Amino acid sequence: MIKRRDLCVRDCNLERVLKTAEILGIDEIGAAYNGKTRENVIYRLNAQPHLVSNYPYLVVSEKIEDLSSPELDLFVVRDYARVKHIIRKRVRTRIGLEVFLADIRTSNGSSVGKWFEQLRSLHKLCQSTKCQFILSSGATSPREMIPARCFDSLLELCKVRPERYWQELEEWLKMRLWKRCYIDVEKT
Amino acid sequence: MLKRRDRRRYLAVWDGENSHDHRKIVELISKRNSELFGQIATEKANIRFIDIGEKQIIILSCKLEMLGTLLSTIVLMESPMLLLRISGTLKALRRFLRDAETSVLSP
Repeated sequence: MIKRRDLCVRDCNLERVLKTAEILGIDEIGAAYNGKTRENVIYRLNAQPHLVSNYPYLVVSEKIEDLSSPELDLFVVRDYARVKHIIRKRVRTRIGLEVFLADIRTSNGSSVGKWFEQLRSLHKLCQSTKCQFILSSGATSPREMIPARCFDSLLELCKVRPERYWQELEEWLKMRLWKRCYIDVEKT
Repeated sequence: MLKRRDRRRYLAVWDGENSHDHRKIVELISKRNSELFGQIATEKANIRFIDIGEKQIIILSCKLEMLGTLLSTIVLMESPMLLLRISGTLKALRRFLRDAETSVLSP
């Protein structure tokens, strides 16, 4: 069975977020680490932890200077038009390039149209550079979270086949998190 | 020739603490849908208000063929709305709303 994931929810109340995710058909979420670990959460960290971790995490950055860092798992693309040339030149293969839907929610129709065009272009770029295209809600509250069915519709608008997207995301996460376990074991 | 009714889907949407008038919500969704997908797509979707339940959960319906565009519109609404469930029948949707754990909807 395909698992659906929203890799960025920025609400501190994880219990409420996880309950909402269950209603919305989202199997796993990505959230900031607050010291406690929960099931079905992949933690987003700014840097690798110094100690061995017992939770799944991804190292995330939205600073362009971190793009070629070997630690980085996920780069957040906030302004694609400005950074696309840099991404093309400096991106390392197999990292994730993530966009937030929350960034576009309050924009007008024409900006939303342009944003979707940029998403299509980013998806093509991801395919050519062997990076993982990731669409996340960037929700700051449960109200802003996106149901699984809506994710599918949005992906279709970006000309991405939803089943393929979820499958590739699963494989990419497996690869990133497996590598992380390996590194952590080596540290001990 | 057989006269077939349009296949529709019923959607349960939670408007949160905004508590807009329910008629206004359909208007807002239709307006955003027109802005994003055009007037023709909005007319084709034939968005209708059906009912409003506990905790301000609104039931809407639209034509099945335009469900994808409506789902994208709901996600792209300026004031966020949470789509709780899509169902083929009103009965099943109401059963879900009765049974579902909706405590997360409390502020």
